Amino acid sequence: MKNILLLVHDDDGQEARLSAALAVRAALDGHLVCLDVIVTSDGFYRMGGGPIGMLVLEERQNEGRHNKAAVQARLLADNIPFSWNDAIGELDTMLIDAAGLADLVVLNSYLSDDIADPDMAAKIRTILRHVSTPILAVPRHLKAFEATGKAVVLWDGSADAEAALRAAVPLLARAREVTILYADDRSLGASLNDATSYLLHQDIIAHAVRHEITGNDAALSIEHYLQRHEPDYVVMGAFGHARVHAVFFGSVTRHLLTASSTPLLLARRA
Amino acid sequence: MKNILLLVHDDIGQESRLQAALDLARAVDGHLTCLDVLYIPPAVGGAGMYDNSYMIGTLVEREAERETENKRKLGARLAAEDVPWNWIDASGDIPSYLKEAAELADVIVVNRQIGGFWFPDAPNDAADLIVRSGKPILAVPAECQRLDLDSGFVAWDGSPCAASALRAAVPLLQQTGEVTIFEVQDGSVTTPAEDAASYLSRHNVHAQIRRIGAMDGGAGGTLLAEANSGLFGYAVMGGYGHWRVVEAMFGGVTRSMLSKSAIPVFLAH
Repeated sequence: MKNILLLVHDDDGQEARLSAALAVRAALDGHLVCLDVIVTSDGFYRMGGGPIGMLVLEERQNEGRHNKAAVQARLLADNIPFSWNDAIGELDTMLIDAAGLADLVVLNSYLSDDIADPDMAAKIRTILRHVSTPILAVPRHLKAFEATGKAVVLWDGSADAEAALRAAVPLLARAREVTILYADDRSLGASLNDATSYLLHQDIIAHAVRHEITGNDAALSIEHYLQRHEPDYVVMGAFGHARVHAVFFGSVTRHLLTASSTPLLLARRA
Repeated sequence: MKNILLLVHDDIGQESRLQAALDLARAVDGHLTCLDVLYIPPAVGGAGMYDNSYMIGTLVEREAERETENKRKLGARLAAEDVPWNWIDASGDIPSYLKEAAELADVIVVNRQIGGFWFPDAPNDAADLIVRSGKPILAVPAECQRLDLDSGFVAWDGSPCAASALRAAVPLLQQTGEVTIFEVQDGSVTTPAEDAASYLSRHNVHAQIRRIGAMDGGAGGTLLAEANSGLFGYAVMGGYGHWRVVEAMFGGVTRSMLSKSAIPVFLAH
C-alpha cells in the first residue's frame, strides 16, 4: 500500500482527508498521489457546457487555484513525496480513472446534506463498482487518523469482507490491536478461523469477538459497538453477501458511512 | 501474497505446480496450503451405475490409492523444504472444498492448460470455480520446473485489468531482479506504461519500459515471442474480462499466452 490517492477539493472534508492520507503515508512510507478535481456539474459535457457553464467552471478553477497553492505549500514544507494531477470532470469518473493505479483512495465518508456537496456514499458505491482499489473513507471532522492504532475488522465471511481483510494487511500489520468482530451465526465458524489464521500467516494476531446483534438493526448495533470501543478504524467489505447475512452488512456500510465517526476501510472482491 | 493455494493431484503437471509454488512461497515468505483433490468421475452414482459399477469401483479405489501414495511422498518432500504448509484432503464435493480454500488464498497455483483443465485431470467446474474466485492465478506450464525470479515482464495495455494484475503482482515483482513492462503498440493503450512504472517505483520496483509493435500474430503473438525468448522467468498480465463461460472467457492475448507460453503466467482480473 504505497500509492495513496488523495482527492484534493476545497470542501469541508479536505482537512480530514489530507491528515488521514498523510498519516497512512507516514505509517507505510508511501507516496501521495494528489488528484485535484474541478468538479463539473452532472451532465456538463452531455449538455455541451454552454456559456454559463463555462463561466461557472472558470470561477471554480480560480477557487481551485488557491486551494492547490495552499495544499502544495503544506506538502512541500513537510517534505512529503507527492505527485499532482489536475482534472476537470465528474467526480466519480475522475476518481475511477485514477484509482486503477492506486493502492488506496482517501475520501470522506459523508460531507453534508447540502445539495451542493456530493453524496459520498453514492460516489463510493459507484467507484467500488468499477475498481477494486480499497477506499479509506474518513469522517469530515476527523481530527487525526491513528494509522497504528486499534483496528476492528467486521467479518461476515463474504468475499468482500475477505477482500477488505487482504487489502488491509499492510495497515493491520502496524496496528496496535486487531479485533475481528463477527455476528452470531453458526455458518461463520469455519471462515472465522480462516480469517484469523490468514492474518496469523502474516504475523498479525487478531482477537475474534462475537457480536450479539441486539434488536433487528445490525447497522445500529454495530454503530453502538464502535461507539463503546472507539477503534481508530474499521475494515469491512463494501457490499453484501450472497447468503443469509446478505442484508446484514450491505446496509451496514451505508449506515456507518453517514452516521459513524469512525474511518472505514472499504473494499470489494476483485 | 502470503497464502498460496496449491492443487495437489498426481498428474503430469504436479511437479511443475509444486516447484513453482515452492519457489513462490520462498520468494514472498509465504505459506503453502495444499488442497489434495481426489477426483471421482461423475459417472459414479449416476445413470448406468449398475452396469459398470465394478469397473468404476476399481477406478475409484485405484485413484484413492494413488492419492494416498502421492500424499505420503509429497508430505515427506514438503517436510524437508523450508516452507510452512498445511494439507487439506478434498474428496466428494470438490467444488465446495475448492471454494472455501480459494476464499482466503492470495494466489492459486495451477497448470496453464486451457479448455477447462487447470490440472490435467480436473473436472470442468473446478476450472470455473478457480476463475470465479477472482483470485490471481499462477499458471505454470507442465514442462517448466521452476519460477525464475531473475527477470520477469508485465504485459501492459493500460486497461483496468492490467492495472489490477500489476497491483496484485507487487510482492512477486519486488523479489524479481529485473522487471520489464511491455507495452504493445496496437493503438489501444490509454494509460501509458510510464504511469505503471511510477506506480511500481513507489513499491521499490524499478521497471524498464519497452514499447513493441504488434507482429503478425497481434499483441498476443508479440508477447508470446517474448515469453518464449528465454530472457524472462515469468509474465504478469491482466486476464479475462468476461467470466460467464470458462471457455469463452479468455481474450485472444490471454488465450495465446495460456496455451503456448513456456514460462509461468501470473494472471489477475
